[in-house]
Amino acid sequence: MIKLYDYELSGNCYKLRLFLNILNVDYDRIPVDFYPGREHKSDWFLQINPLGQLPVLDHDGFVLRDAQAILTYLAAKFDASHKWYPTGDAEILGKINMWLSFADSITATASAARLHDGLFYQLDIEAARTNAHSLFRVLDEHLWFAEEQRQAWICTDKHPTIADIACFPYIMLSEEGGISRMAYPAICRWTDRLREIPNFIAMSGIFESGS
Amino acid sequence: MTSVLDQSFRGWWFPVVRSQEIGLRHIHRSQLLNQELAIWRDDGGQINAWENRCPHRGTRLSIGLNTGAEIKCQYHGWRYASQSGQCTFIPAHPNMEPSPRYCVNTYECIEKYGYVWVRLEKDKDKDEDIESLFVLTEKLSLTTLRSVYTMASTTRIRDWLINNCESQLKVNSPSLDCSLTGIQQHHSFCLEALSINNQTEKSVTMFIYLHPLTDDATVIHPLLNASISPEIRLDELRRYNRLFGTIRDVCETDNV
Amino acid sequence: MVESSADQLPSQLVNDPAWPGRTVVDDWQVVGSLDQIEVDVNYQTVLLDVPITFNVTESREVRAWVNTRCGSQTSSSASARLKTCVQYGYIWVSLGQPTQNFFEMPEYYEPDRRNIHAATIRVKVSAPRAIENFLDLAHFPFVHPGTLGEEPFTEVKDYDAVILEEGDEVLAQKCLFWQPNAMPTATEGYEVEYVYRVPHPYCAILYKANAIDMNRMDVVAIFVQPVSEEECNANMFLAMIDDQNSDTAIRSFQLMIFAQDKPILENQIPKRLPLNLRAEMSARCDALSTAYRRWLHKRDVRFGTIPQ
Ligand SMILES: N[C@@H](CCC(=O)N[C@@H](CS)C(=O)NCC(=O)O)C(=O)O
Ligand code: FES
Ligand SMILES: [Fe+2]
Repeated sequence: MIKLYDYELSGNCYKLRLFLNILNVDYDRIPVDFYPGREHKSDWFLQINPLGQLPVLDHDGFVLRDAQAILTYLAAKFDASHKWYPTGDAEILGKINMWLSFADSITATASAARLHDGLFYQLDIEAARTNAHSLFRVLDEHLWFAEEQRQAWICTDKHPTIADIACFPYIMLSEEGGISRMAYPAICRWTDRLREIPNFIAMSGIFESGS
Repeated sequence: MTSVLDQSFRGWWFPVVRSQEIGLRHIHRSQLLNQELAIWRDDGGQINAWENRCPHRGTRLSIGLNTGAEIKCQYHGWRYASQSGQCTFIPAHPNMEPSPRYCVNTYECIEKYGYVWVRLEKDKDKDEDIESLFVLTEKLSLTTLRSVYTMASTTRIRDWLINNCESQLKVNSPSLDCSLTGIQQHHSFCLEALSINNQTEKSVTMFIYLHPLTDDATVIHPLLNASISPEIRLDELRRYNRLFGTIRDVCETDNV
Repeated sequence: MVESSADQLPSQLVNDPAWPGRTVVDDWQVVGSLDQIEVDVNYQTVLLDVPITFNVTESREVRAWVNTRCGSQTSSSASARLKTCVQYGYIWVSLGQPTQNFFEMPEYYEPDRRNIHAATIRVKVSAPRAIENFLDLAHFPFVHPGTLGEEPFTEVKDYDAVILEEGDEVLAQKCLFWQPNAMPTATEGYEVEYVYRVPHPYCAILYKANAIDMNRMDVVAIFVQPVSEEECNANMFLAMIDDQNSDTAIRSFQLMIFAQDKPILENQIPKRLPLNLRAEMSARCDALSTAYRRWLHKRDVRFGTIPQ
């Protein structure tokens, strides 16, 4: 059985709920009271993840942390079509991993800004917003040229990959951190497409439609 | 100096987005002269430019749903019809005919030369034919390039293009493989220039439309007065994108 | 962190016609939940645009003062000291001279209820917009699908909304709405009855039929701290009759619901609540929102509103 250590308002946990739903994989949610409880820093949780971070996946005792790592694991394990993470194609794998790392940078900037603005985290908010905008500029340009080549997704033409799933949540939640997406119309078209993926589910803060 | 807040500009037509970027079932969020807009196309292809505000409780319509014939507001599901902006359905009162008072503010919009053009008010003094306002006297085959969003005022970009671009661009950004010359101003928001490919030394005319989002943010819409053959299209688009990206970076950093 | 400081003390601000907080200066305003507070730690916050500091001693005594230019330590001048109290598990501060009694919420004292502070969330909208959203039934199917509402069950039947002279509050009763999953305790959909009270410009309480014992009502309240005119801290409080769910489960349900409202609130234009009833279009379902706007106008509440 799969257990997901989960917090509803976390974009990184949501990535996994979304992908598990798309793949139609059953799992149990173990809620961790991230805010206001700070349960991810409690003794019992630090035993599971010494970094004190959500999400963590436990598959019959095989324990994995980091949303991006878990996405690769789930795709390799449960996606029979091999389209979400084409393990046989070196170039695409390289590209996907490049954008998975980009997704982590989005967490470090856009997600941090959201924690600052909504949940009173103390951090350099101007730097977080500025750096998020720099990343969004790069992605918007990338997606604009992708569209010009009839490529609908970050790494691929027709079928999305886990790179799309990984980048999606904190882009959609960016306005809660004071990061407007108005200057990124190609990103907004891509988020529209992403929400059309069969079995898409939303989370609190992300609507099923709208830019 | 002209402020974008100058009310008289509300009677002007501005390009706000490339037509092809307004796909079906999408809602494009934009701004013009500080006014927020929701721009969308119905399934019949008709374009709408609306105030981005639901008249019920002020929710941005751009976070709502384009159903193909209406926009459905995300907050209480009120629906507004394409073109008229008239409310057609209030879910809380499913058997009630919505009063004609329930209507979104709509703006005039038209598609031309590859862009969606919007004006916020009718110009009472001169209600000219829309053609004559676009100053494209000699139209070849037009190519819309990637629009570049900048955090700089329209005045700043226009002044830099007119006064500094020719002398500074080549010197300060030697790796660029194209440059602009012969920049002249058609009106406050439209410049014309000759773009030169530094390798082939071929030149093409282009129009540079400046679209004021707010007092300090502007979209540059570069429109090439030529067609690009498919084999080199991508490279050309990238070249121009680098050019205007560089102009954006300069205008954003040395903002005086 | 750099502490901001006030240019003027509230006693001076009251006479400043440009300060919209002057008509609510004597009211108690919430600044935090007691169970999120560590003893003897100074907390910085902003109330009605005025930067303040507060702390709580071992004996639950609360001290609060305005951050003045010459520093913000406990040694602050007497003129900067503020009136404080603890009520319903929260810390309340007045920038002026509180005269009124605290509003009643007797359920807080009922022994078989569980009083729970769910969370405090900063929202980029005025406090009155946040209150109005809390008072609204019609959005449930669209903003809380699957829990508090579900299309096509969108109808809001007529209900009573009145401004009570006695007690000076807004009251709405017989508010009926079909909900698929109304509470953590609910197992199926049913038509739920709500009662709403607005006893304070920035506080609202709702009563809804308990999912197990239909004769009792659960209490959900929102106490909003007006930070600036366009930002607020929403404190969510519950007094539940529920012996099944853990505090964490109740909290996370409430947080999940509020996090669905947040992006709506932050996408409302303008951020302040217009009190001119013609500024935004209303239908019959908005009777409570309209009564609330009237009441704010009658009380001349300016902070977070666009007065008529
Ligand atoms: N825990 C509450 C959540 C509701 C809540 O606090 N949300 C506000 C904000 S929209 C509200 O109006 N709730 C209505 C409601 O409680 O049903 C419930 O179980 O219903
Ligand atoms: S705010 Fe748009 S329907 Fe209510
Ligand atoms: Fe709600």
